Amino acid sequence: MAFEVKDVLIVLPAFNEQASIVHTLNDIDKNVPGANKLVVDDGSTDKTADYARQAGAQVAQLPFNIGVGGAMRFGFRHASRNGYKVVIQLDADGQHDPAYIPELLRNLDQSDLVIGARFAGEGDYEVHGPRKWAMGLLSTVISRSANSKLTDTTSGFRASGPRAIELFAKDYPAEYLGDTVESLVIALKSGLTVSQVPVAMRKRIGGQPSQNAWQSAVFLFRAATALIIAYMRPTDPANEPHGEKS
Amino acid sequence: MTYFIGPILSIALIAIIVTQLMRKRLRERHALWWAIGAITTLFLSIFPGILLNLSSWLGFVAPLNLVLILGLALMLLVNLQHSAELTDLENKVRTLAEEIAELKLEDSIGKVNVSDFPESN
Repeated sequence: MAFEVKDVLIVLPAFNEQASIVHTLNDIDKNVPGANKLVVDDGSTDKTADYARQAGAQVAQLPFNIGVGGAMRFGFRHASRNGYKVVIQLDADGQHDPAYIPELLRNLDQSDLVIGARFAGEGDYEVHGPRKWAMGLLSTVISRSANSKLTDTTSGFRASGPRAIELFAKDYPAEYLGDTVESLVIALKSGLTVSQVPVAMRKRIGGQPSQNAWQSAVFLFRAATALIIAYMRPTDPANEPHGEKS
Repeated sequence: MTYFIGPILSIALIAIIVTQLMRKRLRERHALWWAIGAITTLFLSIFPGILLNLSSWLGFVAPLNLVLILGLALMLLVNLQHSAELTDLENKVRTLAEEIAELKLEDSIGKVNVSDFPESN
């Protein structure tokens, strides 16, 4: 492994996840002993922060809910300021299996950003209807500009290397789908390389999955809009590919 | 009598804008569009001939329609500007929230002591 465990910060954005946070943290310890864990409590009203502290994680508490994008930008900033070389993003609800973390890390040798992808062979996670079309659209467009097959652009299970951390510490969108789709577009436009690792998803320990036809149709519409806007936005000159940072 | 209603209302609107500016309840960049609207209304209500000529030159059957369209356009512009400013404020609030979380986290691990800042004494 090119990166040592002490250089890795595992960031768990959490909003009211008291039912699953302890289990998820213990699971990480089992798979990646000695890993630094940062729970970003995104304005929870339950005991998420207390439980996470007791389970041995560092806890940052946002004063109110600002969404996954805000929680993650905080994670990247914190990692950048404290000299971490890798940020692993993992959901606190237990959906993401920490057993894949070593595999994600290994792939960071070749890429700046590695996505844990749900539709790449592993596991039996499936979607249908408009949601499937939306994910297909996102996947096709983004794979083309990445020059690499990316089947799951909305996955929240990712590993970011040093270059991705510096970029995301400055620019990580808080909008809907910004934390997944737009952040990928930002990375690609800034010349970062992105690849994926197939992962199986587990059942959530707490919380409710959101899936009905109307919501899926809305998702399709918002995904297409987010994608178009993301590509239209100008790149921050400081992040241009091949541009030397001062 | 009806001739005076327009000018009186416009002057009242201008007076409200100016007082709000004086009391610092309104910043000039927010007042700009409202001021333009109020002054235009005042101007047109004193010289209605201009409105009549302008609307017939532009091909409006009823001059009132021109007034309504201009008013609507003004409302839309101001609304759009407010949405943009709201977005700007949301971004700033988000950044502040992140900074507060960072300070609290560093404080809890003893890197920075928040009580060292002179402001908090």
